[in-house]
Amino acid sequence: MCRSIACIVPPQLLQKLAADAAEAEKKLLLATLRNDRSMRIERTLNRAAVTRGASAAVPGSGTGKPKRSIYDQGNAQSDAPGQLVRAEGARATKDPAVNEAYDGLGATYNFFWKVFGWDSIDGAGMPMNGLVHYGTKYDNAFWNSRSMVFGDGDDKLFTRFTKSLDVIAHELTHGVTEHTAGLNYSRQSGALNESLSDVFGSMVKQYAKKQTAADADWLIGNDVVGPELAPALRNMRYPGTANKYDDQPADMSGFVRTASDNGGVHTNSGIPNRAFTLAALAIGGNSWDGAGKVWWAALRDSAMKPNTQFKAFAKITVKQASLIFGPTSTQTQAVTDSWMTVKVL
Amino acid sequence: MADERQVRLVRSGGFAGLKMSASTAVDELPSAAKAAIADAPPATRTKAVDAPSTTRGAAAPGADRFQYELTIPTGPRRTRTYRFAEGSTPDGLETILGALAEHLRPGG
Repeated sequence: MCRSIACIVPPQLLQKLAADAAEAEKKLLLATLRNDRSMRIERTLNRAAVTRGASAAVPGSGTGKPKRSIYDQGNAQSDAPGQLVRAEGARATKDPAVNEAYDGLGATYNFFWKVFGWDSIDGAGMPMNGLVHYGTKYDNAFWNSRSMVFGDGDDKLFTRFTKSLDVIAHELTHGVTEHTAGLNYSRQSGALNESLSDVFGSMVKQYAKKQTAADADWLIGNDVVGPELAPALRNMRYPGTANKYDDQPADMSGFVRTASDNGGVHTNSGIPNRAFTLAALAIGGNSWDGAGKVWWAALRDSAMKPNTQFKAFAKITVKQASLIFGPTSTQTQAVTDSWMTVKVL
Repeated sequence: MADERQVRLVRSGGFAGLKMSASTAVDELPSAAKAAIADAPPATRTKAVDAPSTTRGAAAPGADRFQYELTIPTGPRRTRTYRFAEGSTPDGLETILGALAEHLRPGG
């Protein structure tokens, strides 16, 4: 984590140096100070008891080593783990679904640990269970509060869900959200919950592929859709354009009120998805260094409540951008602009 | 005499959030599903076709699970609608759900 002189130079000294420096040096020193501040905030947040839920984390004290267990459900549609087929550290099997789940959970763990210092689902090293071959031709993947569960797909709508890193990361992020903000899975807070899973799911994919925000495709599920849903399930940058059934709105003027799908959680998530994407593109570079850092801090902000709505979340991200990068920074402006573009602010 | 009354299933949610539906005449269902309709558990209320009742199953924990809305005929021009989450299917409805699930198509 320690990548700059900010690790050893006290912030007061950096401030004094900046005050006396020439303009070009001043910019560099202030940038360093802001980076230092964000790292200190991160460390403070990680040390603070983010005590939401019974398995509250003592973040920052983790091992950096995942504890993965992959179970074969043998086409049973049961949430109870089936046969253990690959435990942590065990060799790859001949079953691609097993190895994809193992590797995908590992890549997701790696992202949260290396980028945010967050240890597994709950921040305290919670074991990660992946259940594969759930049901017969089962067209879904889900989080059941204990495990990430993956179907094999019917090859029309979906193929094997474990093929997609963003799907695996999406499901694991539901667990992270459950153990941090604890957002209700209904209506706006549910759509925000869904969006956070797409946001971090996409970032995990970008991190693994070493892609900048500009390089990323911002598609969700493009590796697992079948011919009926091709080319992708969701498009974070251009909501509503991923496939012929995609009805995600791009801004609040298209907000959908419905009783289906827990109040349209997978529909209205297009709005905060686009806000994140716009912010990440405007800030530039790696999404996890800019907008991602802000969204992560917002997810763990004490102002987050189970029923947090879009507007409240937007304000929290602006506050966090200001804390991390400075109130007049381009990053804070980009975050503000993105929420205004999608008509949340 | 053929039973032309319709059974309808709407599925929403899941990782895709894609709305899917299936509708078929009772007569076209396997005998076990027909029997399950005849023995379907009571709803809290029953209303006319145009204003279906609501019988909610407990919400399943987690995220991305399917949501179901199953409407069965209970008499001439009367139906009963059950709304429930995957993993919380009311007892007695699994057979009907299974019979209709393979006919689900996008749209609703």
